[in-house]
Amino acid sequence: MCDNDPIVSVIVPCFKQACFLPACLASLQAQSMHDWEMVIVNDGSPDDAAQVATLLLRQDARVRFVEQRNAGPSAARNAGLRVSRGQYIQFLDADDLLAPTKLARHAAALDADSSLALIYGNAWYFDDANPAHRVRQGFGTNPNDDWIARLAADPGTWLSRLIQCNLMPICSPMFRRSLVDTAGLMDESLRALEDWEFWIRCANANDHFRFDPSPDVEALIRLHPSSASQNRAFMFGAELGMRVRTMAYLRDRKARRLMLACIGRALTYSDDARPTRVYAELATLARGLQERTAVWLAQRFGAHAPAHALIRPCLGLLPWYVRTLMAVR
Amino acid sequence: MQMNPSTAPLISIVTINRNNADNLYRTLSNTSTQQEADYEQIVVDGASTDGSVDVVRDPALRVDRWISEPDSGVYEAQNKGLRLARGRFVLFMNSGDHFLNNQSLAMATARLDEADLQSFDIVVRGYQRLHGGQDFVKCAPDTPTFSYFARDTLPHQSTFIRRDLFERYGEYDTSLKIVADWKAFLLWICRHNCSYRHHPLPLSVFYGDGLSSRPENEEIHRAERRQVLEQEFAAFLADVDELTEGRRALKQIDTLRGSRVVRALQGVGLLWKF
Repeated sequence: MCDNDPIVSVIVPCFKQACFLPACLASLQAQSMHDWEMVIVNDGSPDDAAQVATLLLRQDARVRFVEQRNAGPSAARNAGLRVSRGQYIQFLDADDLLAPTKLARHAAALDADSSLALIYGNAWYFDDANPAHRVRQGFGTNPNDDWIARLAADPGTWLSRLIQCNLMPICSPMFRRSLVDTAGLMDESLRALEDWEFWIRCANANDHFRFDPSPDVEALIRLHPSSASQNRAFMFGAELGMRVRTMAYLRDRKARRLMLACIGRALTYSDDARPTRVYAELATLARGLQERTAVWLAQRFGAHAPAHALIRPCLGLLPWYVRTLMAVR
Repeated sequence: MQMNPSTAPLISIVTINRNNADNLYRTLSNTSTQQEADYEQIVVDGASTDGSVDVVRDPALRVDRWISEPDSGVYEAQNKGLRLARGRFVLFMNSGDHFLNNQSLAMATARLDEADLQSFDIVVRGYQRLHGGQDFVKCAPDTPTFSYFARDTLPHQSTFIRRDLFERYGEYDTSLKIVADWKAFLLWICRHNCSYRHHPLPLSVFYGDGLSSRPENEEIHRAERRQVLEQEFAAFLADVDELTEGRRALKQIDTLRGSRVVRALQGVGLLWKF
């Protein structure tokens, strides 16, 4: 890092969102803090993102542009993370905006407390067609549910809260670069919920997070007609896969137990909505898990014939005495 | 920062460029036609104004990731390329360099093993000071020693570098203009004892008009090498000087031995042993 490196790197992945890039830059230019860089990563977008970005590059010297063949949002954010130079990182999707004092206030908070790893604020969801209309919950049934503030107040550690559900939209937090150095980059093999998995991994590395309820640090997230979440079966499988994967690195015993309980809950959502593909994925992932997980799965689902069939490969990992105790063959 | 191994390619080819669109096209059109190889192509451009970006964006060429912005020099650009790279090995094919043919990368891939640094040979083309500008093969060393590095370097166009070396020992030194890759090779091999393998096959073509072989850069080249050796291996310097002096003397003796006077004296029996 050199002296002329910016304080904050704002990483903006862009896929089919070229038309929103100028507004996105304007929201950064309106920030009370000026020492930032905007790293636009065009993820092989079929629209004119490159041309728009070239115009923005000329407009503001703080804009940087990386382009890659389409490889997904995590790969794009990772490319941005790796070329960025700031000591603090803020993710911002091309169609979203930030409150004008967000960067300054978050950066000041991180400056003031060197043990703080990540700080995040609340968010509004807004609709282009109806600008006066802002809601707290973009996708759920209750638009007035202030879920970010509500979940931030739950008891427990940040890690335990994150294990239960995702606490923040991706544009809400600002975090230290050193957090990425310890936790690792985003997982490029996940097809959904990659941000949630990333926050869990970050909290596992350093549990010192903070929520700032102030309206000065809010993110504005654009709602699109198409932005309703994907179909239930897909999200169900994605959540299960993501959760099982975190078992590979969760260290804390309480956290591991809580994650197992959440995996159990996810498995019992609905028998009908549970596609066999999910079982297959689970079995593949479970094979790499530690013995305890396999024991737990066998105990819980030993009676369920199809599940048992799929968990059987994992049972081979268990020592014979555990199998005898469990009376499974 | 770790990467996800499941999606990462074996080789990242990093090409840096500044206002050199024709050479960039030569490099990219060559790497794009490599057959059956697990690689990604990365381009780092120094805010070129000669249409280099149009070359990068040419849909007929394969470029997996690229960036174009001002930089302070070659090694800042190479470091940026490293950060964009995801492969297990990195190969620096700078603008103008290219593989010998479209099977070269597949040939090399089949031979790569676990060693940290793996060099193939290069074909030198258009180097006016040797062989009258004719193509010739320059072999990488079998065992690079300290004295080898005191006078030569590994060819970056044909040296596969394990990317984790940069994570373990740091990126290129951007305070140097010409010899930062030489410094990195020197430190990896002579200080960190990294493993090395020579595959005696020509992999790529190097054009003798590159940055480090231009006569006007010769002075700065020598000065930078001297500076690095003084910083890192001061105690070895006198030894290297003595060795260089000794080698030069030996060469003079060899020349003398082949000279007409000596052969004439030997012919008439006035000189037996020389």
